[in-house]
Amino acid sequence: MTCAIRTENLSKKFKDLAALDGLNLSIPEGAIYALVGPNGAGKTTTIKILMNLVHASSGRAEVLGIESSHLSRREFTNIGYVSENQEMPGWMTVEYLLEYLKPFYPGWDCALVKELQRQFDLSPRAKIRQLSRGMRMKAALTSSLAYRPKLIVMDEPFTGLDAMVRDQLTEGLLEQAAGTTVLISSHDLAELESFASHIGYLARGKLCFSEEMSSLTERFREVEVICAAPPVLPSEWPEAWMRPHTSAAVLRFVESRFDSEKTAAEILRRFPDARNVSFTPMSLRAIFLAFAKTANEAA
Amino acid sequence: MRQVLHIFKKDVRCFRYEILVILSMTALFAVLGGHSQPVVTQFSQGIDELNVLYRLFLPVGWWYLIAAVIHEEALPGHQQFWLTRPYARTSLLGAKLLFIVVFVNLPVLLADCVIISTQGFPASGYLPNLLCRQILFSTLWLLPLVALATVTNRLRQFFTALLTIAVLFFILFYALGMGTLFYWGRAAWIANSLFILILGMAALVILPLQYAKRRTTLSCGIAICAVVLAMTVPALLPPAAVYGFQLALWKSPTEHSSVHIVFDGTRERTQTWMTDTVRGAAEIDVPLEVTGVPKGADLISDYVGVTLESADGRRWQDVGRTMLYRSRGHYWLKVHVRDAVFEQQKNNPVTLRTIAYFTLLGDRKSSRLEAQAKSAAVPGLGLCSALVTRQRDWSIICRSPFRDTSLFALDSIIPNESDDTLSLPQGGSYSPYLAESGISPLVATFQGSMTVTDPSLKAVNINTESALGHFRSDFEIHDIRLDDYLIQ
Repeated sequence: MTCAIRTENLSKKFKDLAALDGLNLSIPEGAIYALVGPNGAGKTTTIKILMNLVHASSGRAEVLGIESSHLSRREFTNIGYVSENQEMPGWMTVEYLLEYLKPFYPGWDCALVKELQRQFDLSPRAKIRQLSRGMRMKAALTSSLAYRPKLIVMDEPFTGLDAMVRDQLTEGLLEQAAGTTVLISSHDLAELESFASHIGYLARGKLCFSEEMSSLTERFREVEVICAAPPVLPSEWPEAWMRPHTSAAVLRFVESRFDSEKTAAEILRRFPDARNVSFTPMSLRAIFLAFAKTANEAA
Repeated sequence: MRQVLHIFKKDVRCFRYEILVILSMTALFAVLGGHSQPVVTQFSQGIDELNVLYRLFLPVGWWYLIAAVIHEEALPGHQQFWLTRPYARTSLLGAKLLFIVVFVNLPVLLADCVIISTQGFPASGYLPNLLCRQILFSTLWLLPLVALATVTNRLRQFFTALLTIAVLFFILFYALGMGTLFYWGRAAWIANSLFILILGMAALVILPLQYAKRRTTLSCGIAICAVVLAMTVPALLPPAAVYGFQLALWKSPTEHSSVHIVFDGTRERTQTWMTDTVRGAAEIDVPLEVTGVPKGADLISDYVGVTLESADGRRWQDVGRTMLYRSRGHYWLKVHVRDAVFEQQKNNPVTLRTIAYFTLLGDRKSSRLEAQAKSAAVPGLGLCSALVTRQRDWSIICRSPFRDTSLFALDSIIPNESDDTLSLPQGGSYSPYLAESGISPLVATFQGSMTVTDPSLKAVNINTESALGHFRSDFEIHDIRLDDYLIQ
């Protein structure tokens, strides 16, 4: 498997605060990789190191086969970066921004630009500083898709945008960046669930999991066990069973390594008086919350 | 190069209004500079004052433009859109420098040409001076500011840093009396060169460092060190070392073996022609006999440092401003001794040990200057004007393009003057450069005013001499009583 992005033991400290702590991340080429995690987990720091905007304290990061700290003009002709915090040249009109950027990219596609402008309903004469947040993100995405980059990195692109704009951005991205590797960090889990092929969960600077979206949703289930009498939680509780809680004779927990047969057998082994066991598939949001709450409780 | 021009065009478009304002300001600078007259009339004084005020504001305009264009692709921070775009950093730096050259250097060059031409100095005759001035101007007034702009990312941050530095410089150069960058007389060029060199070198380190690596913390450290060094090293240079260096640079050794300086015990204290009061210090004029000065030459002291030694071997240094001067044909050594030391030692025999650097002046030329409103060319001094007021005050000003003259104008300007008048040379710069670092290309080479008793006087002579050579000649004066030579 060829990786568009790879990090090894990547760490970043801000004074005494470890923003990243030995991050090992691999993003295969062509994947749409969603990097999720609570606020302060290290998502933006990871992206900034990958984009050579900040330097790592230790470890290494490779982007398109190049050490991220060595990313240069040549590599950036194949990388698109869109961030909620990016400072765009406010004095430029959308049209001038696109005209200005054109000579920087050998692969600039004027037809694609027109198509994106139409799709995003971007007014070419409007100055960037006068655009709404949503329109600014559309302009940024247009300027990043126009040269058909091999990699698009998006840092919280949907924050503060209404559903309509988010939908337009996602559509634009999916339609025009087919085959491109996309790394996207976002809190909008429902949006990500609809199109991400891979997902990584970052908490306190560490990657808790990183896998294909389908495998993640396969292995997580909400489990409900109805026993004959109020169950007593055994002292040796499986690590994969998260956030157990009981209410009268009902036991609920989140199974993070779901296998219909093995999980059922394990439940019956531990709770022989179980009368009924049900497994409910979980949304990405529910999985995220289960992880976040478990991490908070552990802390 | 294509990317350089592309970024440059974008910057021109972005700052088109600011450019127009700065170009207009520079044009006005040229007009004011060209029409400011060396003659002090009410009208020209008005223009001069406006010009001086303007010279303070114009650099602020340049610096604003420089900071704004650098900040358009600011280097500190990590949210600027250009950081993840395929900019060649060398092209970016090239584009910014091109912008500064086109909209600051070139207009200043043109303004210089206009000013000196309007003042009667054809620009075509001063091409090397123009080039030298551009180098000094860029190294002192532009490059350090470009470097400062690369370690800041907002105009407010830039101007706050600049104001802080300016206040520190003001305190050091003016309040502490450590000299000024606008003074290039004698060997001041050495300290000025060091100052400009430190700032220029720091800028030349910071610029590639910032554009290649964006190491803002390191660059700020370098900038702070450079500012501290630039403020302290030139100011703290021992004058003896400065004149020693100047002596070492002199092209050919000066024959001075015939010059002897000894204490003249036969002369008593007389009324002095010159006082130079230093707070907290006693002013002492010691009579000297100077012999062996070649005929037609004059001797001036560049630096004299005196150490007092008491009979029991204790030593004190003078407080500075010691000089050798000539009055009514006699030489005097003016020394300032701390009050406490003077009170303690005034009646005891003490020895004065000196380290002394001298310059021999010669090749005297005399130019006649008539009292008139129009200025007249005086060889070596530039254009001079003399204005006589109703009170018979003669006011004489000479100005020259680009640098102070290497000549010394003697303050004895009354016709038929003799050596009996006080001889304190004005002007005279040992600088090897063809230009100075001021904002204006015009330099005052001579300024003097005097009250004349003869109402029929229609013209005066300005005498000039050239430096024939420098030499060091230390001397000692044994067993003198300081109180005998105290200036009351």
